[in-house]
Amino acid sequence: MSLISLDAPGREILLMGNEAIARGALEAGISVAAAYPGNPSSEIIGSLAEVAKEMGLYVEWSVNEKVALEVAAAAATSGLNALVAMKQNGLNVASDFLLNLNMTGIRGGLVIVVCDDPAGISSTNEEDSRVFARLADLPLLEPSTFGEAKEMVRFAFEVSRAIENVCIVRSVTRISHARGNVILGPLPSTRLVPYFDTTRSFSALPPSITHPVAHRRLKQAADMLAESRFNGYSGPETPELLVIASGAGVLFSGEVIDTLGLEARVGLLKIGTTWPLPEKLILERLRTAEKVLFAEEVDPVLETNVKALFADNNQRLPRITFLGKKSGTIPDLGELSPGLMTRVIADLTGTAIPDIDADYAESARDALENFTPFRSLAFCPGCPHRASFWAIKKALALDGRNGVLFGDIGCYGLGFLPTGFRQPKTLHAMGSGAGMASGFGKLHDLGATQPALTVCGDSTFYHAAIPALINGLHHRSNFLMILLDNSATAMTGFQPHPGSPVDAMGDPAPPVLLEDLCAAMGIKTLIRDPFDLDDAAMTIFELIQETGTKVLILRQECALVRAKKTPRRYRVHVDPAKCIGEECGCNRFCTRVFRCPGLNWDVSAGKSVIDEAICAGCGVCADLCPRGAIVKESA
Amino acid sequence: MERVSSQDALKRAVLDEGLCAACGACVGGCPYMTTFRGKTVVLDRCTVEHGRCYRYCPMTEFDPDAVSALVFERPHDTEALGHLDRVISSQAADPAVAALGQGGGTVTALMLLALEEGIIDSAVLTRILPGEEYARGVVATTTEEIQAAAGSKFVGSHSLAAVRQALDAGHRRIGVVGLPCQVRSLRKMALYDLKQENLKERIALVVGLFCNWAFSSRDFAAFLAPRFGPTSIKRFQIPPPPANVLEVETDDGATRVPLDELRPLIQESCRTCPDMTGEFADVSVGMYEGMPGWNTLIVRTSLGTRLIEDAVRTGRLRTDAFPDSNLEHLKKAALQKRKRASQA
Repeated sequence: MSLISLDAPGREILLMGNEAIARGALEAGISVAAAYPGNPSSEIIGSLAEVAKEMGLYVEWSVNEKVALEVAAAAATSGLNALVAMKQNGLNVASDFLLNLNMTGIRGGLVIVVCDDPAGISSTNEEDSRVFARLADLPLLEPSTFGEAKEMVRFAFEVSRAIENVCIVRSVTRISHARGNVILGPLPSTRLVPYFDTTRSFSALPPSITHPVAHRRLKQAADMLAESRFNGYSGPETPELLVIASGAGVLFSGEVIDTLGLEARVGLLKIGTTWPLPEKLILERLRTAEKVLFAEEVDPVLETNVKALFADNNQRLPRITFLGKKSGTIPDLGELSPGLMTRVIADLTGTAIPDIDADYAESARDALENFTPFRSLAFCPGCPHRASFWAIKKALALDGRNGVLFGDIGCYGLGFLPTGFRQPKTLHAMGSGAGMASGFGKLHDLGATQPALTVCGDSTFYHAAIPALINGLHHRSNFLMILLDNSATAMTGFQPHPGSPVDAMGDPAPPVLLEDLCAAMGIKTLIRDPFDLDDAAMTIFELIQETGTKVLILRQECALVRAKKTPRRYRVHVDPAKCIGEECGCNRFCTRVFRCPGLNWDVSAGKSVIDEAICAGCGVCADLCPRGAIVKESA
Repeated sequence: MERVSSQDALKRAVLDEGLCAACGACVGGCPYMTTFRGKTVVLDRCTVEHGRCYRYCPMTEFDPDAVSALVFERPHDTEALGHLDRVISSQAADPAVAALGQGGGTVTALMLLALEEGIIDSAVLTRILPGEEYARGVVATTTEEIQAAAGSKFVGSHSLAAVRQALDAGHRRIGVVGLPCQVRSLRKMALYDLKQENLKERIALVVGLFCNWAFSSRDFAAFLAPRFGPTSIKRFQIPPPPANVLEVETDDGATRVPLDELRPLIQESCRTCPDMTGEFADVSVGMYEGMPGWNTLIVRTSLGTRLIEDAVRTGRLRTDAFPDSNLEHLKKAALQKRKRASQA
């Protein structure tokens, strides 16, 4: 049972940042929430889906972020409050619509929560989506605590309704995925009824008329934000060092000032309304500043905007030394951390960093070594992707023409690592593997001899790969699209997708099947089981001998989903009498090359062993052992 | 820097150079390499530094004196035909066996006898299995299985992969019929015996086949497929010069294909091979040019001598003299191959 719908104003409860965001949306009285899953944003819509029925919401996992924003915009042009959540890459997908929606505005409330992933902990990039706010002339807020995340979302809806345009909230992994105490506010007792006022139109055309409106709305937002309690200053009137921080930078800087006892020397200007800036407040602080340090994550957004503000007002301001990403004081990539901020602030103020208790340091090191063994990024035990990449590897080796596998986004994105035998050679955005394969498959006309292949997950296929497939088909491109169909949006937490028989709220939904879509396009489409390695490999081999656009669906349920529903298919063990270990003719083939985490190398025995605790019982390794030493028995 | 594994070295020296003879010695029992439609394919990188793949390959370093010492107990005989006891002509006495063979059925007769007498407990032979397109090595342990493998295949067939199969099956006295490259590989196995498998004893009998060259089996299959269909071919024959053709015998009769059309299909490794007669075998067998139904038989070791004597004594084999003029011709041909290799 979810805590986010708890009707207990004033109660303090522990929530994950994303749950706090969802709660904020509930307190703001949303009616519609939509998203395409993507870490670190997935739990926002996930937790709203859980309470959808109870709270009278419509919640959906949309096919992609652009459609999610369009679904929400339909609600918000009909007077409702609607929330859209996405990761940073998702905003790119949604941006084409967003940069037109901003021109027309809305009639209700529409908040986009974009969860950035500094350091790319679960992403291919670490782009700073705050730049979109300026690009789209839309206000953007940045929470620095869990409680503030909730409050800010509620406030964002106020702003959005007031200016009749979208408001963006930017979270980051450390806020979305950590937990903290949140004080609950009241839930609205009334629901809005959707009505599209047909006396109004929402057309971006012509920009000569709509662009000035967007600017006017932004100005209106600026006035609201300038008065916001999410901005504030603490510290001496004339600080030696003024730290201007947003997001997690606020927390870390505050902690460092406190730890180093610099409260009387260093000031902290917290900016919660990153765009448009609270200019009056900032100018007030700059008047008494000598040295300014910016603490923000990824790009120098705050830094650049404050410097521009300084330039506009320089005649009334002192000479100031600005330190941040531009000066190299703070790295211009990755996350901030308390350690980093300690070193920077201690250095700038000439403060000694207090020694860490030697005993504590040692016990921390021990704990780290004992409880967090080194693990390489790898597919789960029994993951069908491992088998699929094995089959692809074999087919390409047998083919011998140095085929190129274009990768895509999903768990199988890890395929470029040893766990996927380094098979995919590209990794960019959702659906890009198919697009690049479509392009490479045309280079055969220009003399290319390498076969073109792409892998694409089921959810990714619906999201963005279908247009690329159609493109390839229409242009008679020679490539094989391998759909790694594990029947789940596995990487983000098994959300349903259009191929699922159920929707986000648990209601039955008509599945749109991969094979039906491909058949409707008239593409040659085969379905195979990746666990039947030789059959899968030979099928791939045969398909890449043919010209034209082909689809192979490698269908096997995600091992994690399967494990929740069905017992293991096989009990697997190693017969030590047959295992020859490091000898010629094996050379630890199973643990060194196949590398399933369920297979361990027993150093003292010089034999492989199955880790029964995590073995998923797929039985694939038994088919690979050159000595028949891995035995699978039907469980 | 990563160390060079046996497989790396093999790739560098042989596979990447297009010099693989398709003997099959490296792929038997190895999960890192396989054969696919007549080619040796590396599937994964192996890091073993003293592996059998490089050491047993006929195309890597070969020490003829060491092998001669092992097989003949003397230094390498650099004469045109290698060390030998005698050269005779022969044919299987049983007309049914003779009819199976390419020339006179001598090899089939000898392998049958060796199995019957217990000189060997299994035979590694080359066969195109029913329904298959490519020749491969098989482990034969019955009369029928040996007879089914009769006849030349004219291709690199990776048949030595089956030696590993026979060893794994626990056979203790394995007889192998192979091309000169395969004979070299078999003797390297016995000489180096990297895993102390007693290969000197267990590879009990080596019968060499005369060979001037072999086709790449993939290229040969691709050549034949559009012309003859997949399964209708019964036998190949190369009639003596000056015919310069390959006779393809099918259900619909014999078709002659000019050898000049086929020369591009010859394995690159054959162009560098100096050995026409399988100089390190126990006995070597080839066609007897101008004498249909007969073979040329070179007896080289004491085991070979004993086998031939038994075959004659038990009425399996008919033998005759091999005229000096033919011997000179044979030597000339062998020297020509050696010369070609030295110029390659």
